[in-house]
Amino acid sequence: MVQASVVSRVIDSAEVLGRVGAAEDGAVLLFLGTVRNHAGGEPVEGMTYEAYESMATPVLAQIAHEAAGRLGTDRVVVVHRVGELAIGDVSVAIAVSSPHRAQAYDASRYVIEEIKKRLPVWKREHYTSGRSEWVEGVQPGRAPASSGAEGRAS
Amino acid sequence: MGIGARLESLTAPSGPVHLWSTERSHLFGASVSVQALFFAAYRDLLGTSKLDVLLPEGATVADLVRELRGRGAPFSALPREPAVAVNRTYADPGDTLRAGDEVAFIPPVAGG
Repeated sequence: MVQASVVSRVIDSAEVLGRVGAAEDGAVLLFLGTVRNHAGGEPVEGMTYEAYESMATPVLAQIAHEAAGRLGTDRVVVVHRVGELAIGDVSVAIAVSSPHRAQAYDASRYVIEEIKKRLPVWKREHYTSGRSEWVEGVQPGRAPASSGAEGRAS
Repeated sequence: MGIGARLESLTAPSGPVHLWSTERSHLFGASVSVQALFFAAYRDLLGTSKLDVLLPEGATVADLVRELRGRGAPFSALPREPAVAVNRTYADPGDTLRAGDEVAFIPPVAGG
């Protein structure tokens, strides 16, 4: 039930959370990435997210599968939004669940960190001054060589 | 390509080269056409999101980057070794390109 999607609509975080969880789970974790109102000391009023969608979707799925391998369950859901976002809007939602919290925290963290490293998504900050700029990103790398499609338990 | 097509291409009267498919063109040591895609900052830099590029057969990702950078401004402002994805998978500079490949130039990523 590993699920990954790139959407242009508002992310319903409760709905994302509702897709994980099982009777054997003692830990259910939801991470939300949100648009903040400042960057480098400059007031920000919004953000434009752009994706190479036909690649971002499979890369996001790959990341989610790798996370599931670490988690030890298949209960990983990740949704990334693109388009025009306002302050406070959710840009990414990650929900995971597992019998114990350590694996849940680890898997959730893994998904967001890998998104930052290799998901082909870019964002443009719109400052209150009227100026806007592409956020300086990270040179992407390939998937970790040690991780197959199903990831690896750690 | 079947034998029929091969014979046809060998015996066809010499017509305009551009009408020949790229599949046949290797018989003449010709070229492959790939589609280069540009996103975000690269698209803004170049003023275009896609470009068909003709390369010699056997050309690599690095050859494509060199070809584009050699066109002068604004292409020369592309990095010497940009991240590139071929058919939606991250590729190495030495990877060989094939006709019809979708070659995306990936600016430093900033998701999340």
